[in-house]
Amino acid sequence: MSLSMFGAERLRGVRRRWPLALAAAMLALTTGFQPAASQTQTGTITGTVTTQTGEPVVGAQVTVVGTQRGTLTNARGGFIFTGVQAGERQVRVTSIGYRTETQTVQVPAGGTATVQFSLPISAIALDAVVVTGQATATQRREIGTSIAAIDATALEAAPIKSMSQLLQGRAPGVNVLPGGGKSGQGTRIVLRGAASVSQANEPLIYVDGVRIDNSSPLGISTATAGTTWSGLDDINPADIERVEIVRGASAATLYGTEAAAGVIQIFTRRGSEGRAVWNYSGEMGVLDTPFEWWDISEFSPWFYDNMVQRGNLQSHQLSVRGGGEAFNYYAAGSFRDEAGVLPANTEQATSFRLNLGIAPRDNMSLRLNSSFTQRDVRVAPDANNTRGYTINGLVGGPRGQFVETLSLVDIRGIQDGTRFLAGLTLEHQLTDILSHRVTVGTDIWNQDQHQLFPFGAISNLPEGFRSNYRRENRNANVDYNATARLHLTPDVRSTTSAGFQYFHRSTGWSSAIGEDFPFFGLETVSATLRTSGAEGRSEEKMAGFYGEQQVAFRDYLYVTAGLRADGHSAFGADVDFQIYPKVSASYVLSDHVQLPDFLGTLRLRGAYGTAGQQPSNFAAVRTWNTTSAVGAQPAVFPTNLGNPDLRPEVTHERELGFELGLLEDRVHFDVTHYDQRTKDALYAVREPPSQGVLSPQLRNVGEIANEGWEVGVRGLVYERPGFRWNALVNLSTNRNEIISLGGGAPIQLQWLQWMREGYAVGSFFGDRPIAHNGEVGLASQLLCEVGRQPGPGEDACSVGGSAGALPEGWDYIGGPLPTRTLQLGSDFSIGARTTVNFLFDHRAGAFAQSSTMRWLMSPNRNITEGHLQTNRDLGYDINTTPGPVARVCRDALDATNPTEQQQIYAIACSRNSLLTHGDFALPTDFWKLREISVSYRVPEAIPSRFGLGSLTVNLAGRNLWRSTDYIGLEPESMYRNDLSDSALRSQIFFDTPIPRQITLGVRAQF
Amino acid sequence: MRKQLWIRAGVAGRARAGAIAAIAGASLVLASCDLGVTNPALIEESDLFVPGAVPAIVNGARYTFNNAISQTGAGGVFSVSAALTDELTHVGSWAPPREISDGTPGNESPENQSHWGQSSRARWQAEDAIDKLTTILGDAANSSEWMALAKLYAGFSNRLLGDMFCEAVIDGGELQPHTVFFQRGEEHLTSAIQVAGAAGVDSLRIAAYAARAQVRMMMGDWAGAVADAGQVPTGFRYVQIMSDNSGSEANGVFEWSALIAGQYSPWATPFAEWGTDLSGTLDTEGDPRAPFLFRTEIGGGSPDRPFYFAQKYTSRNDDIALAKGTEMRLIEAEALLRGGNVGDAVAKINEVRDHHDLDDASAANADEAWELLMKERGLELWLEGRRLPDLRRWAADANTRARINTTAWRLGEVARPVYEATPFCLRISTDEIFSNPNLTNNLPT
Repeated sequence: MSLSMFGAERLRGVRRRWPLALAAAMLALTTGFQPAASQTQTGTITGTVTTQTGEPVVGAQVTVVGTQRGTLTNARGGFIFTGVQAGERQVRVTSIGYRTETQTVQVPAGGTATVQFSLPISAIALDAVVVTGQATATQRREIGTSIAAIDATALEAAPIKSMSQLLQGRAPGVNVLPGGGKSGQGTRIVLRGAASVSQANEPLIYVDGVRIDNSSPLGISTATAGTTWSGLDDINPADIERVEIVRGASAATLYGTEAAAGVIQIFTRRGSEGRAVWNYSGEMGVLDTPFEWWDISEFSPWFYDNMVQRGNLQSHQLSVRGGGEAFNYYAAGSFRDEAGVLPANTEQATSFRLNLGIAPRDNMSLRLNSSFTQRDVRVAPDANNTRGYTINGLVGGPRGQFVETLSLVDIRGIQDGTRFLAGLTLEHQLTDILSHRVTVGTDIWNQDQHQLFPFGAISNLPEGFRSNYRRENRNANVDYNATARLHLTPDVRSTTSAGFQYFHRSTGWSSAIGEDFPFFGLETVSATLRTSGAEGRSEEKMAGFYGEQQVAFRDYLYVTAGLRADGHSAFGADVDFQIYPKVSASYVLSDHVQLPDFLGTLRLRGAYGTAGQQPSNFAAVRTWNTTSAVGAQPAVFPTNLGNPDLRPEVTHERELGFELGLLEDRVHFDVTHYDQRTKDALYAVREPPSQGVLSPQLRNVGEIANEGWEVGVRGLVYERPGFRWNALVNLSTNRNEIISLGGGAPIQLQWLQWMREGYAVGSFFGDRPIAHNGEVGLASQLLCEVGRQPGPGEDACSVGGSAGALPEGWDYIGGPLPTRTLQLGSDFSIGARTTVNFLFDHRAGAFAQSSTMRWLMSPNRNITEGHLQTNRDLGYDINTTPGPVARVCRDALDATNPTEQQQIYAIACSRNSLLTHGDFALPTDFWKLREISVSYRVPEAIPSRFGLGSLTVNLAGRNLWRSTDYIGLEPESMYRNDLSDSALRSQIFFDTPIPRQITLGVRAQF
Repeated sequence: MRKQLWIRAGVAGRARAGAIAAIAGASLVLASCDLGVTNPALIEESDLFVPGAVPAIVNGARYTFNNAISQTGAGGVFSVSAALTDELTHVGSWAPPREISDGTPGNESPENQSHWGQSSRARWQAEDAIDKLTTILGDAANSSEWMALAKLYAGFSNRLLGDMFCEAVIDGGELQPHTVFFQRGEEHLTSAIQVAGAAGVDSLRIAAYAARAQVRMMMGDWAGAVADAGQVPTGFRYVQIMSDNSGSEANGVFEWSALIAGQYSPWATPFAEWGTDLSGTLDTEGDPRAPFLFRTEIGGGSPDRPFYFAQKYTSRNDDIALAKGTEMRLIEAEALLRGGNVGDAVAKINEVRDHHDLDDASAANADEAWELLMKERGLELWLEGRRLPDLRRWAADANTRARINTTAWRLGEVARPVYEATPFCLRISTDEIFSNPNLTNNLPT
């Protein structure tokens, strides 16, 4: 057999359950699973970990080197190991923000060895171990690529209620794009820029080595009333220990065919040696939106007073961790309840987690990670929903734009989801040199979405409507890796790894729709008079094999090369497998040569690597679909032309960067430049519709470039006894461009958004009012070069009857993704008990089509006296005058000395009809105070009276302030977040503003 | 030192052996991996070449035809062409049909793209069905009812394209005049008449005659049109079957013009004057062929555009006529009028009115007879996708162009000069323009 067997027999395969069996067999053969030998000559190691100024370091990781023993320091910085084999032992302490320290102790049989650690501050953590992107756990100093790491344990005081919020603004190049401000609303994540014009630009997500499904299924779609579901948010952030983010292909090579958009690996908390430590954290808070964020319409005052409410939230989490010499555990349960700022918008989330660690031998560990989450979201109708609260109330007032009295609108949209996640990882140090590891995992995600328009509740469906959509997705993955580490010479060390990865996804869904209830009070599909149903099932498989070789010279030069070969069920019949190579180098210059005193650590790194993005399932096959026609008769119609040559698009990435420590490594600069080229880009080539098949066919024809900088600066700004100020700056830039569409025609993503060579993916194009050389007018007029003949691809124009030409790109407005992001943050330690944190978040360069403003500013959106009188007759207090609905129109048209911007708005407000979409592709730049928190650790004497070890009180705020020139409701929102390419579909449609959140919380340990 | 080296070498050897074993094992596993998957919802094209697939193949052509005429792109081409010609006015909030209703048909928005795309797919699938049935049935295809039906729909779909679109492009070819669709339709319908005759299915044979009369009328072949029309009894109707069974089978014209919060209204059109307000509020001429409901409490997407409920179709199950005997009489009437025979022309028109138990109409001269004919065709064929080709051919003919304004107009703020400014055709989509290399140097309108 050979790899050429990949891709054979596309549609009718036979299932084989080989990966799990084989991995288990390989481990069983080599491990033997003998019980650990009894340790009779043992002693105890105890100690404390403090800063150099004597303050305890809480939560530092302490390990006994060469064993599976590990624990965390307690509130006083203390730790203890019992039953340690007597003799010389090394104890290592690792904590973010401090230099890793190792000390050797002599453990007496039956006695106690004591060790004290005083950790020096270090913003550079070259000795920290990173798992993601390498075949095996590797120290950061050895890695030639840029990998962002987030220490979630350091964010306990931050106002974070979801994984999306945990990632938001935390690392350069990580763009978290929220759908809107409803409770339960999900996000999309784009790392660096858009690497694909046709496939999802979202990263793979692993939780403890198990790949989870983060797709956005269309149940109750956002087009009607739905809320995008973010699978990532099924993970309870309170259970997270750390997150590693691979932002580009150069570091994602070993993840293969689906990793071109990057990889996010989440590690949940583990148990630690010692007695059971209980932790409770609880918070209560409010969500609200100030009037200014809604003040876009003449009806905003009424809407704000009558429809916008103050939301609330509470959450409770109880966890316990502990363990013994060969066993540890972490168990947690949490509950969160939230009510949003619009009526009938709630979210309840319940989650349980049990993580077990077993060390049957000193050279072996077994970890079981499992979690169950249930989230129930009740969706408020907003966005592009003809019966939505926001679009009706802000355009039409109390009676709505369709003369629907908003208080009577009764749409019930429920989205319930349950997720079970389990992974088993076995690590075995076979010899001093050879180790291997296998992870077997599954992610089972069920969704039950239902929507109800009761009988008589909605005027356009007066007899009611009911839909139910259920979906189950099962992911299963098996990862096996074997690593051999040996010294080739005293100075040269070799690390050789090889492994394989298997992934299987099966998805099944069914839907039932019913219309017309016979009378009031019925609520199920089967109670309706007209019903229909649908079902779909699909599966995909991927198998990959990889090898990686690293050669280290002393402890300062590391060169790594790797290769992965993948087969995938979505590849064309003529494509057997895809190869992904990588090579990288890391040079810790400061460990090699003597640098000037002002320089601390200096590391240079460079990498080249590739990763892929597979086509959608069955895109390679020429297919027809079935339907019923002309009165329930069977019918078929063509769906896909098919392409037997279809292969994944491959992103090639070059990355260069350095890490520099200044002031004795108290300040850390991490600078990366990346240059990506996605070749063989999958492009949905439009065939001429006159040839009969309307869906575009994926072909490997395009080329996309992404280039940018990522700069992270963090460190200690100022320190004196009792006061410390740490600050961070994250800056990222991205320049995205379609280099080639392979000769294909431009393709329309939606409305004004196009794929055109020479421009960013999904850029906006259109005529619109602009200011040019001191004049304000339409671009097609002001940019018209009268007297010049149009060149190829240029548009003709006319000014005052004189013909001319418009220059190429005259209609370009901007791209959909940010070109610049900046985060500024600080944390202050005041005394031994008080900390204050804040984080500002800035995004710039992204445009969005504001359907919100298109609707409001359209010339026919005028309030008439009759309209006002109707509302008054119904008892509504509408204190406005006839005229435009949109505030910007009123201000612009009424201004006696209009500003340039007001002149532009005046044109947009006066342009004929709804058709001028170009007027409303608006910049969405903003600044937000993303997080601010104050935390106070109560003196131990007080909690100890109640049997508590420690007690911390926390006051936190999120999104408390924003600054933006965007004139709609919310510059961050994207209402079509339910689509696979939604990261590019930048459209805002009466989405609810993302609310401010203020919480008061306590954390207690006992 | 020697011992340590020995241990290192020994362990290294075992490590290498282990690594090699692991790699070999993994390679073996991967090589034997079967990555085939199943998807029960999809059909490979090769699966269709069996006799049992014939009904589904032909019904597929009927399915795509309904998508084109009444479903996709804001109510299909029957709805948007109604908004273009004055049968309906756009009163909703959706921009693409507003473009068309305003007399400036766009070809870029996804909705307006779909008009060309779906209509082209309907033609392609009907013609592809003919090819598939020829392969599957062999000689039996020449007397197959299913083949006759496929050819009839090939005729209807070509007629639809010729009626509605400004130019023609076929199978990714070059730009051609829209009349090539009529030529192509005529060939299919001639063949449909033969096959339906051989199959002994009179309803299909007569339908093919009626459709060919429509095509020949558009080609200006009045003698041929009248000859074909003569084969069709006045009471004959061939319909696109509509069903509430599923969304894609339903009457989309009803959904878009008669449901609350619909997009199209008879308001401000001549049909609101000629027809019947079933609410009894408005004083109209009372023709029952254009019924509607006036309801003041319901607005459209634009607050100042009232939403009248068109009531020609009152449910998703209401079929839409594709060819009728009554239209055949009006074709005969128009041919007579073009020959200067006013009296016989009015008599033919009255045959249609008699069929509906309406009082006879009269015309004192040719001008009045033309006005009557144009109005009668409008009322008789209201919301059946016939108004656009009617206005198109009348506008293209110097003898009839000036007469259009007497029967096609808009009221109030949505008024627009109909025959001067309206192109009377929908535009080939930018999808076709950008993807078809044969159009690079010869762009459609």
